[in-house]
Formats: sequence, C-alpha cells, structure tokens
Amino acid sequence: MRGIREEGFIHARQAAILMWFNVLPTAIIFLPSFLAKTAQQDAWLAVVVATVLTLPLGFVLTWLGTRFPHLTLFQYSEIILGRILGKIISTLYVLALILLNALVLREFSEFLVSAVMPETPLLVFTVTLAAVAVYGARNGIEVISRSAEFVMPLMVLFILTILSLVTPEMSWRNLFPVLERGVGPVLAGAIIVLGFTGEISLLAGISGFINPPQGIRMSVTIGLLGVFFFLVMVVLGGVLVFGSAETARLTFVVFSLARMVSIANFLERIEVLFMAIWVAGVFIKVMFNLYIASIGVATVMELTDFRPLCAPLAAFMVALSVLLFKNISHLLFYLEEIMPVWTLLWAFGMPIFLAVVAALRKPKGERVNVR
Amino acid sequence: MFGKHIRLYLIGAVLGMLLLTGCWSRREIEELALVMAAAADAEGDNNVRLSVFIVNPREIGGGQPSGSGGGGGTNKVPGEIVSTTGSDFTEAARRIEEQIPRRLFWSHNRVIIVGDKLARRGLSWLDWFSRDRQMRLTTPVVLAPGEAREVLDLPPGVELVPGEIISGILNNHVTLKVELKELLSMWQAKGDNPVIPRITLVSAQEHSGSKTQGAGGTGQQSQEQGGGEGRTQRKAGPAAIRFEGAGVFKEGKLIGYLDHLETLGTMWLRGEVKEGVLTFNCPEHPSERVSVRFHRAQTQVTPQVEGDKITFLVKINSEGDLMEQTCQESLATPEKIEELEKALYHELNKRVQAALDKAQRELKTDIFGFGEVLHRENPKLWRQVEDNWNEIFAGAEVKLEAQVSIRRIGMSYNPAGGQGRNTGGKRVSPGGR
Repeated sequence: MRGIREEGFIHARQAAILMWFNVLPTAIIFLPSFLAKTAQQDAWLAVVVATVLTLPLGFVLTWLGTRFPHLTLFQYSEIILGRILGKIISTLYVLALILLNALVLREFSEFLVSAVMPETPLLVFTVTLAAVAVYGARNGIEVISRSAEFVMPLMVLFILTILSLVTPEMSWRNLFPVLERGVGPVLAGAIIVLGFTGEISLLAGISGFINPPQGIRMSVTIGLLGVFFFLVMVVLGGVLVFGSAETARLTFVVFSLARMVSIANFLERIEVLFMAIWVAGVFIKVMFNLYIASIGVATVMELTDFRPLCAPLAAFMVALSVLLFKNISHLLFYLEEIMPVWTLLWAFGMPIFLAVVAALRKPKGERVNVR
Repeated sequence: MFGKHIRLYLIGAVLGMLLLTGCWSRREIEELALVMAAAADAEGDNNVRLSVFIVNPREIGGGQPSGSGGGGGTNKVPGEIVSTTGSDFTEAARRIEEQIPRRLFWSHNRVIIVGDKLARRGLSWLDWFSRDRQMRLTTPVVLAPGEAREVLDLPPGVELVPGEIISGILNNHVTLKVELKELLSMWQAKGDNPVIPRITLVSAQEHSGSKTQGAGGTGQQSQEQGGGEGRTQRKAGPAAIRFEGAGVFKEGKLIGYLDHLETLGTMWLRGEVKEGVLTFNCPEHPSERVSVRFHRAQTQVTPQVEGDKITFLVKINSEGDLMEQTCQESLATPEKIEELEKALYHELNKRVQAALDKAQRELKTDIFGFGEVLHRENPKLWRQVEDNWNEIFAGAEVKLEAQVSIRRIGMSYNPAGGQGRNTGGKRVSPGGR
C-alpha cells in the first residue's frame, strides 16, 4: 500500500489534456475508416452514441477520484478490495496497459512505414519512439503534462487547419440519408469507438496527482468534450470529403485528407507537417502510458522509485509490439473486432467494478500523507 | 541525470553525430524521375501498357524553353516518354525503371489518361492508382479515344509538359473534371455511374496558330487517326488536344460516348457547371447570335414518387452576363432581357434533353447520380429499386425548371455600330498621338 509516491502535482486542465492525448492520436488515424465501414454515412452518429456510452465511465472516474483523493487506482484498489485482491486487480490493469502501449507503438510504426517510409524497418520507429518515451516518463508526471500542454495546441491547430482547408472538397450530400439502415449499424460503430474512448480510464492511474482532487470532475468533463469534438470533426471530415464508401476503403483517412489539401496550387502537400505533429502526439500518448505502467508496477511491488522500471517496461512493450501482429491486417482486425470488447473489460470494467465494491463495502478512506 | 557523467554524455553526443549525416534512404531530386502524366492502355487480351511522361528538369527549370531554334532540336524536349507493358501496372511501372536511370516518383503526376480499350475492359486499374502511397486522389482522370499514350506526344506550347496542358485545360471549367476520388465514389455508388471527359487529338492543320502552319479553320469535328508507335513517330503526333464529349461507364466498363452537347447537358444535370457560355439566336433575328456568359450555377434535383412512378424535378438556377450580340438592336431593356432569358432557357433545355435522351434511351445508364439523390431522399424506396436502378432510371421522368437570369450587360448598352445614332467619339487619329 505504501508504494511509491510521485512528487508531482498536476492541474485539472493538464489532466484533461492528457486524457485527450489518450484517445485522439491513434483514434484519428484508424477510426474514421472503421466507422465508415460499419455505420456508413452515420459514422459521426456512432461517435455521439459512444461518447454518451462513455459518460458512465467518466462519472465513475470522477467519483473514485473524489472518494479517494490523492490516491491512484493502484493504491485505492488495495483499500477497496484488500491487499491481495487489490494487487491482483492492479496487476491486471498494468498488464492491459502494457498491451495497450505495445499496440500504440505498433500502430505508430505501421503507419509511418506504410505511408511515408516503406523501406525503413519497422523496429527503427518503434525503438526510437520508445527510447524517447523512456526518457520522458522518467521525468515524471509534471514534465509529461507540460509537454502535452505544449503539443496540444499544435495538434489542434493542425487538425483544424486541415479540416478547414479541405472544405472546398466537402459535400453535405455525403451525410444523407441519415439512419438509412436503422440504429443497428450506428450501435455497432459505437462499440468500435468505445475501444478508443475507453482509454480515458487511464485517468484513474494519475487521479492522485490532480490538485485539488475535486478538479477531476473538470478534467473528465473537458477531456471528454475535447475527445468528442475532435473525433466527430475528423470522422465528419472524412465522410464529407470522400463519401462513406471511399472513407471505408482508405487505410489512413486523415492522412489522405491532408493530402487532399490544395489551395490555388500553392498551399498543398502539407501532409508532412501533419506527420510531424502527429508523431509528437503519439509520443505523448506512449510516454504517458509507459509512465502509468511504471508507477503501477512500482506501487504493486511496493518499490520506492518507479524510474528504474521505465526502460525495461518499454523494452518489453517494444518486443510485444513486434510479436503481437504478423502484418497490418492482423493489427486492423484486432483494432476493429477484438479491442472494443477487451477495452470494455478492462478500461470500463475495472474502474466500474472498483466503484461498485467501494460503494457497497464503504471502506475507510485511508488518508495517505502525501508529503 | 546529466550531472555526474557529463563528459561521457558529451562524447556520446559527438559520436552520435557521425550517424546523423542524413537519412540513409533519402532521394535527392536529381535521382528522381518525376512523372507528370501517365497513360494507361490495354495491351493484347490481358496485359496492360503503362506510359509515363517524365519531366526533364534541365529543360523545365531554366524558366524558358531552350528549344528556341524553331522546334527542330530533338534533344531539346521538356521530357521523355517511356512506355512498357506488363500483366498489371505495378509490373509495368517496374519495367519502366529498367529503362530509365532514375526512380519513378509519382506524387507530381498531373493527369491519368486512360485508353479506350482499357476503359472498355473495366475500371480495375484504379486500384493501383489509389493504393500506391505516392499517388494523390486529386489527380484528374481523362479518356483518350484511341491509345492513351498518343496523348503524351503533345508538343510543348505555353505549358511544356502534357500533364500541365491537360490539367490547365481542365481548370478552365470547359468540361467535366473528374478526379480519382470522385471517380472512385461514382463507381462505388449504386445510384451513379462514372462519366469521364474525353480528349480528342487535334491535327496540325486543324490547330492553326503559332506552332504550325494551319489552314485557319474553325475545326468543329475531328476524329483522330490512330497514330501508331508513339515513341518513334514523334513528328506525326498530335499538334494539340481538345476536350470533346465524355465516356460513360456502366458496371465499371466503358459502354459509350457522349457528344459535346450531351456532355454539357450532363454537367448541368450533375451540378458540375461552374461557368460557361450559352450561345443562341437573337429573339427577333434568327440569323444573328447572342452569347451569355454565366458564372454561377446551381442544380437541385428532387425525386417525386407517386405510386410506381418516379419523377425527378431538376431545378437549375444560374446567373450570367450578356457578352456578345451581333443583332443590331439594343437588348438592354427589361423586356428584351426577359425574352433573352426565355431563349436561354430553351438553349439550356436543348442541352439537358440531349443528355437525358442519350442516357435514358440509348445507354440506359444513370450518369447523373439521380439514384444517389433518391437514395438520400427516400432510402426505403431506394432499397427496392437499387439492384436494377439503371433500368428504372431509363423509365423515370425528368422535369426541368431552369431559371437563367441575365444580371449585367457588360461594358456597353447598345450593340456596336448602332445605326442612326449620334456618335460623339473622337475621330481616330491617323497614327501616333
């Protein structure tokens, strides 16, 4: 239970930004295509439904965060379930995180190899990103938050720039008819979105660092709104420009969107800039995931410092990322078919389970002296 | 973390610089063969022929064409045409690299030209052009009536490379412009069929002007002759190209061509008209002409369903300026303008009806995307008709409601040389000031 304590504190706004980075960088690359495949022109409705379905998770995270202030999920799971069971749950959560981060590393590298540098070995991207992430994660939550704060405006600016520059190519007709095949496809699409939005559950891993602890309510609200807004924009952008059939056919929709930009034969070929910003975004996500996994392991093992864990965990993630999938079709199949269910299990299931038990057992909120 | 071993880190950083001399897989621009136009043809029964126009940067980059010696120098060309065959396009593209000293680079490709025979075989060639990572979905696609590679033989004019010539003409809005991405979605939609503009080769006599000695004719109709082996017979190549008509695809295969008038009508019905000119007879002097140039056009199609009968109501709104009149009466009065607008409507109707007749009677193919309109407006009915939409489309009724308004009359009230009027202009001075 003692575990390590990170010395840092972050503002609720920073937590919200980290939440945003947990979902957006990977979701914007793969999600529009999946959604167009299942929900066709109603892809954006699937995002709306999924956001509504993510709300309960947001409530649970808020409740847990305020019920156990200054504690992370790895700590309060032991308060709620007792030492052994709590450690088991924390371990499972860390394992899920490791798997998730391996997946993100692979998505990142696959995209770079497919779209930009086909001759470079995949491992080059995976290893370099992981190495930088280790460096960042060792610096602690405050550094991670600040770098996220720095990258976010750039990413927002870029997504909005791309979307506004392709407006000449957009056609509202592509959105109709609404609900052509009823709500079924929309719900099916929403489940895929949950696989991505469920990752906001990682907020529980840093909830103890938010100061004041009540700020988590604001983090969840703003973070979820931000995720919702940008996912809808990106999905709409893809369908409006390409139409649902073509969006479903494209592997990397937003990248193709960036390639569409052509203003007066002058402002064009800006996709490389987009790449740069997007790489920075994935970097934040990988670094953050690695950090949470490290403090998770440190807490479970009751170590005094999480820093020595970063590098080995990252190495493990890199190895896993290479071993998990044979090719990009495996990866896409996993993202589309397996990840939603798996995310429901761990990202939604665990916090909700903890909250239910906490509400029933009413454990004494042990106040840990943070300083 | 740097504190203790600062020296070690510094040495590491310096050593690291040795590795940072650049990307190992970089390609400098002089190692690339920039493809500026690609022509896809069918070859034999199953093979394909890929021809590319590779730009010669030495000739293009100087700012002016160095072939100033009257076009005689055969080595002073803005680029090179390379053509190979293969069982598919990836193979053909690889074989091109067997013939040229540089790697092909496709991102700057300006146009994809498809030969008639390949188009009749089907649209499956699109896959390579949309899957390769260097391709851009904004590349326009055009049809060539014979072999597409003949088009690449265009001599340099204002623009030096055929890709620039073709994309430049397309940007004049004189014909349909179909980009790869639009073509793909037209093909995939059940209620729409692709229409691609067609290039016609113009011979030297016809294309009178600066390049060659021409007869100075107007050149209304031309059917090109098969040019033969493109690369060897450069002299016999076309002098210019013109866009005329468009090819119609049904179930992914080219089935026929529209003529010029039908293509214009199709553009109106598809809502693709951005600007253009309508020329018609003077209301009171049928032998004289009036031209109106319009810059704004809007097409709205609404399906109306009564029982089994599907009617499409096409509303066209457009605004234009009076550009030219040869009849000697002032047309700038409100009443005359109204008459002109009626005549405009008839002219527009003629184009639209020509396109409709061709699509419904002859080709029995929905090239206007009316099916998709029905799909959007009435998904339930669409579900019943989508599988044999083209037949149902052929029997559908189309009503046209066009409103073409003349807003402005240009820089003069009255026709040039209006008789009997007091002319107060300066006398023309005999020369100089």
